[in-house]
Amino acid sequence: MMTLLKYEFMRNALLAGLLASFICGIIGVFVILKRIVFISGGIAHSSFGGIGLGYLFGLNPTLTTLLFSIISALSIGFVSRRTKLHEDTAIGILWTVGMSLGIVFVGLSKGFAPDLFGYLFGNILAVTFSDIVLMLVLSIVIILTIALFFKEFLILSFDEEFGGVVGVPTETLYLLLLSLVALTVVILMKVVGLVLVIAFLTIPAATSKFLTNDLKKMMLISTLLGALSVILGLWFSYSFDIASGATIVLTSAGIFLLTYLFKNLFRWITSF
Amino acid sequence: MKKEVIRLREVWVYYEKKLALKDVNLSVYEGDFLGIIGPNGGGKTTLLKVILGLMRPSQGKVLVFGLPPEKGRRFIGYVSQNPLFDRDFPIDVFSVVMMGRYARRGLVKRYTREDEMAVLEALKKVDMLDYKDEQIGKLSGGEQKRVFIARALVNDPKLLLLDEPLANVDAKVRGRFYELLRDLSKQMTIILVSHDIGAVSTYVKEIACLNQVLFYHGTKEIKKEDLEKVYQCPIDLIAHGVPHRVLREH
Repeated sequence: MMTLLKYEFMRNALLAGLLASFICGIIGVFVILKRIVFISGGIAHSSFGGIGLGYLFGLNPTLTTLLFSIISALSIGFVSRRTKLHEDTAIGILWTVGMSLGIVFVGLSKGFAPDLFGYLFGNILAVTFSDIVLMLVLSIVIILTIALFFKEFLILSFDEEFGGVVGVPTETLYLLLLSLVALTVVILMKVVGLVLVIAFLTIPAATSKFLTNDLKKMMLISTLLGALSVILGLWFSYSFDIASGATIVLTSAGIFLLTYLFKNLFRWITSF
Repeated sequence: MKKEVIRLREVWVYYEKKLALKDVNLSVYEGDFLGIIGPNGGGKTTLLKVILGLMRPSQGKVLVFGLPPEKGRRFIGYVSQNPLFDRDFPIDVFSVVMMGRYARRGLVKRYTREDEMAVLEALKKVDMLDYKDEQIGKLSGGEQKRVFIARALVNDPKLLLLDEPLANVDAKVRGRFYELLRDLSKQMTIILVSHDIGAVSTYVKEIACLNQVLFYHGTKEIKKEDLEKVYQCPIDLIAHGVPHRVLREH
C-alpha cells in the first residue's frame, strides 16, 4: 500500500476518496433518516444532463454538472411537494429526463467524449489536483451549512409536521437539504461515478445505523466506514485490476453485510 | 366572562376537492377541557390543523388567542396522533423534547441552559425524567406519548391540542394517562380529539361531535340525535352512572 502512495495519482485518489467519505458520512446520515435515498438517486442520475451540457458547449463538465444537479434537486423537490404528483412518480420522470438530455447533448456535440465512462462509473485514479480543490470547496460549503442548521435538519428528519408547528421553515430547508445532496453528487462523481453515487450516500450511513443510537456518532462511524471502503476498494481495484468505483461500492456493501450478520449473531448469542 | 381561546366562525375546508369541514362554528374558553369525538375521516385532524394554521380554510374566520393561527399557535402545545418517525431514529428523549423549544429560539440560534432546564421540568411533569437518555424508539407506546406531551409542554403552552391521545397506549395505563391530562387541565385549556366516545366522555368537561358538521352546546351533554347524525347510524350510548353520564336522562 505504502509503495502505491509514491504515485501522485494514487495520493490524489486517496485524498478524494477520504474527502468523499467524510461528506457522505454527514449527508448520508440525513439521506437515510429523511428517507430521500431515491430522490438522491434521481438527482445523481439526472445530473448526467450536466455532463452532456459540458461536452456540448466545451465547458468543464464538473461545473455544468454542479449547475445541473442543483437545478434537478430543486425541480424534484418542488414537483414532489407542490404538485399532486406522487414523489416517486416525479423522481421517475426527472431521473430519466435528465439522463436523456445528457445523451442527446453528448450526441449533438461534435467531438469524441473520451472520459464519459469515467463520469458514469467513476475513475478515482483520474482525479486531478484541481478536482480536489473543487471538492474541498464544496465540502466546506456543505459542512458549514449543516453546522449552521443542524437543529433544523434534525427536526426536519424526525418530525416535519411538528417542525411546521414550531415555526421551522420546513419546505425551504428540505430544498436546501436536496441542494446539499446535489453538491455531494458532484463531489462523488469522480470517485464512484454518477450511477454509483447513491451507494456511497446510503451504505456507510445504513451500516452505522446498526452500530449506534447517537446521531453524531453515526456520522463519525459512517465516515470511518466510508474511508475503510475507499482504502480497501482501491487496494482491491489495484490488485485485481478492476474498475475502482465498483470495487469501492462492493467493499462498502460487504462491510454492510458483515455488520448486519455480526449484529444479529451477537443478538442471538446474548438472547441465551 | 372567561377569555375566548379559540374562535372559529363559518369555517369551510375542502381537502383535495372533498368537503372536510362544513360551516364549523366553535368557541373554546380558558379552562375548558373539550373532547371532540367523531368517526375516522370526519375531519377531526383537519380541524386541529386549521387551528394550528397548518391548513388554511377555504372560507371562514379562525382566531387563536385573538390572533391569526400562524401567530396564535405559539401559545399552543400540539401532540399529533402518531408521529411518523423511524423507530431506529438515533435520538434520545431529551433531544426530542428539546425540539419543542425551537419556537422560542428560531433559525440558527442555539438552545440555551434555560431551554435545558425547561426540558427537564417538562419531563418531570409527565413522569419521564428517568428516561431522558433513552432512545425514543425503545420506549413503549404510552411512554412515547408522554414524551410527546412533554415536548408540547416545554413551552408552557396555554392550550394543549391532542390528536387521538390514546392511540398506541396500552389499555392498562390509559387510566393513569387520563389522570395526567386531568391534572394538566387544571393549569391549561385542553382540546383532544378521539373516535372513542366512551373513554373520552369519562374525563373531559365538554364534548363536541364532529363529522364534517360540528355539534357543540358548550356542555358535556350530547343529544342522541346529534350523535346519530354524526355517525350516521343508530348509536347505543352506555351511561355509566351519574358522574360519567353523557346523555341527558330520557
